[in-house]
Amino acid sequence: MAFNNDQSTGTAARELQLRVNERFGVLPNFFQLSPETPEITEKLWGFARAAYLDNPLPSVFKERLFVRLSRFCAVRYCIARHTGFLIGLGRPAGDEAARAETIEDVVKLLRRPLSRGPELESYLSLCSECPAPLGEMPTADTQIEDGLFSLASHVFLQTADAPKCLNVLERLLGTVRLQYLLLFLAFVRAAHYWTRVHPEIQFEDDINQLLATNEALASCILDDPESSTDKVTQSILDEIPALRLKADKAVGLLASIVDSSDDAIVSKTLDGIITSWNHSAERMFGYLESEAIGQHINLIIPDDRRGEEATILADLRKGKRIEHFETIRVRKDGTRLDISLTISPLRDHAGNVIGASKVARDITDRKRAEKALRDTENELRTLAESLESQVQLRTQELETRNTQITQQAEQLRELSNRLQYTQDEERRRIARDLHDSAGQVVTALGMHLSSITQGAAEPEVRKTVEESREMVRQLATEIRTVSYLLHPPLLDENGLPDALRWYTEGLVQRSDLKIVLDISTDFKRLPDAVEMALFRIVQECLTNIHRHSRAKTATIRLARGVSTAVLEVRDDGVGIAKDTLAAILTQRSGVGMAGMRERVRHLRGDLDIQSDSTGTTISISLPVVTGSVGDKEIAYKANAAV
Amino acid sequence: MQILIVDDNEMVRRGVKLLLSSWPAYVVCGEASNGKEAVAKTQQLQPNLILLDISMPGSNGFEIAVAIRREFPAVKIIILSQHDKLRLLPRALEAGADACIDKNSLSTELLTTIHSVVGNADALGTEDVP
Repeated sequence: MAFNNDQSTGTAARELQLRVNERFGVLPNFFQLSPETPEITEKLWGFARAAYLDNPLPSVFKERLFVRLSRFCAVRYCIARHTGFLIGLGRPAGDEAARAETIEDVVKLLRRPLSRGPELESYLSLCSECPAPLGEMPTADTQIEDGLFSLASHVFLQTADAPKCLNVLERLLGTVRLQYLLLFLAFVRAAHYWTRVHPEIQFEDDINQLLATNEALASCILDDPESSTDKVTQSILDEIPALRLKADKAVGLLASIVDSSDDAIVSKTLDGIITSWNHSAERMFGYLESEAIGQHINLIIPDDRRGEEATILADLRKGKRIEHFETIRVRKDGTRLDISLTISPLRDHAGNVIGASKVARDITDRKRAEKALRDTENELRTLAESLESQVQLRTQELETRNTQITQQAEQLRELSNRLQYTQDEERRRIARDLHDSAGQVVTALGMHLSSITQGAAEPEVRKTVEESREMVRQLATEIRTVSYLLHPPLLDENGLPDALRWYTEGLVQRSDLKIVLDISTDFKRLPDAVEMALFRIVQECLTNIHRHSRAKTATIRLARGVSTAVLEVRDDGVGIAKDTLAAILTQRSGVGMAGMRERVRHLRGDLDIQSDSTGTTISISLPVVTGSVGDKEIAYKANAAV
Repeated sequence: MQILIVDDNEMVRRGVKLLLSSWPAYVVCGEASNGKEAVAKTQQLQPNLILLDISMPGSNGFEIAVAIRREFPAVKIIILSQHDKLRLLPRALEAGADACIDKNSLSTELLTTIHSVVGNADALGTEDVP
């Protein structure tokens, strides 16, 4: 960089002074501060023109704002000089056309304090709510100008409210005018700085004269009670004790919250060194605050969980928060406890992670409850499984038993059938034996006695033999009756209708019972087993009626269905008592009935008993496979096999 | 009169012979104890009357009656049975028999029935009289 010589410097400086003077109407000392460096002054002048003088914002607006902002500069040059421009000592913002203001107007401007707090808020509201962007920049001494100046002041001073003020200004002015405003502020800031680094700067004569002749104005400018930067700083300093008190209260409140918390709250450095330890931590882990602080967090981490800490610390360094991390910690007495950890990174003012706060909740009870619940569930499951297997086993046993019982019942039924068959056959045999053997002998005996009678000469002997012969005849009749009742030969020889007729006639003779036989004419021969079953059933029914019913009449109806033989035995007796009937129906009683039922079941037939006080009706239906009379044996087999 | 007694029971045969022995006109010419023998004796002895037991082991009295009647239309046949005469009579007549006697009543009915069948009216009055 080349420096000008003295001569040329002097020439350039004089030329610049002429131009400045021409523009302002006066020559401000501001532009004569470094006569040896005219190029710097030149640049300042260029900056002044661009940011201030040629800035398209209205000249009076700019000048009033310059004055207003200059109140915050400890060096009084700017405020005095620009007040001068404003009241016509020179030109406001170097503008010939701009109208000068009165001293009173300027004093009023100078007495406006910096808006803060509620006043600033009300200006922010005002500027936020008025129509935007503004068509024209505000004129002097209006509320909107004052608001705009207040917002600009905060931006200029870079207060905490500066960002929101800037936002509102942007809305109010639009982007272009805001940029010009900010450019203007930059120049004011530069001007202030320049005067502060050149404390030798003097008021110009016109200013000295102005101040000397206007005491109020001089007072405002030289003894600004509220609005210098120093005062702002001082006011902020004044607020610090109150803020500190407030902060202390907050810290105290926080500390009391931490201390009264049921959760253990511990903070530590990133190296794991414990830096705080609340009461609950003392209670939970057994170490006093004085014992814990300064120790490594491994103090409470069991050996087998040390790895966790490295992971936790690594996450913390990345700024991660860890929530509800369930783990185990160890107390001073060595006992372990289940805890739920929430770990948050601690940061310094610059946002760097410098440590961690840990909130530990003792979940031993919860874990114990969970384990108890789990154990109970397991026990229940085991019990349920065992129960299920027992039930399965028992079910199998029951099924097996059931099968056995069914088989046994079937065997019993089969045995019962065999027994019945055997009984029938035995009766048949005994009947035949009685009839054929004993009966024949008795017959022969009768004939012999008869022969003796014929040959006897003695009347005494003759009489005795006659009596003997009569006794033998009665005996023969008895034998025949017993034999027939055991097995009526008519059943085999003539079939069921004849056998029933013979039987009922005999019963009528032996009792007072009247028996009506109603046998359909088409009732032909049936398989032996069916005929035998029906005969025995009728026999059983009539025996019961005779013994128990007190009936006067019994009616036996025998008919053929398409493939069935139907028997109905009805009496007009007193009926079967309800409980007896129930017992018979559930097969708990009535041996005769049970036999009847078995015969019917064996032949795959149906049996029904209806009984009331007017009498009892027993209905039986037996399937008949064959209609052929001559094929009895086949029919019997077929029937039994059904 | 030649009479053939057919009954499987020897005691019955003896009884019948005893009863007949009181009446000299009735001569027992032979005895048989089954159906086959009865037919053979009938052919051999040519009796006037056959007293035929209806139930013998291995033979049906009705069938024997039918067989004999077919071969000897003139022979008189009286069926003897242990069963009730009234129930037996229809089938006995159907089989070609001339009468039917309940064995229980043989001592009282044998001679009267024979008399009635052979038409010996005189004999009726002398029944049971030696």
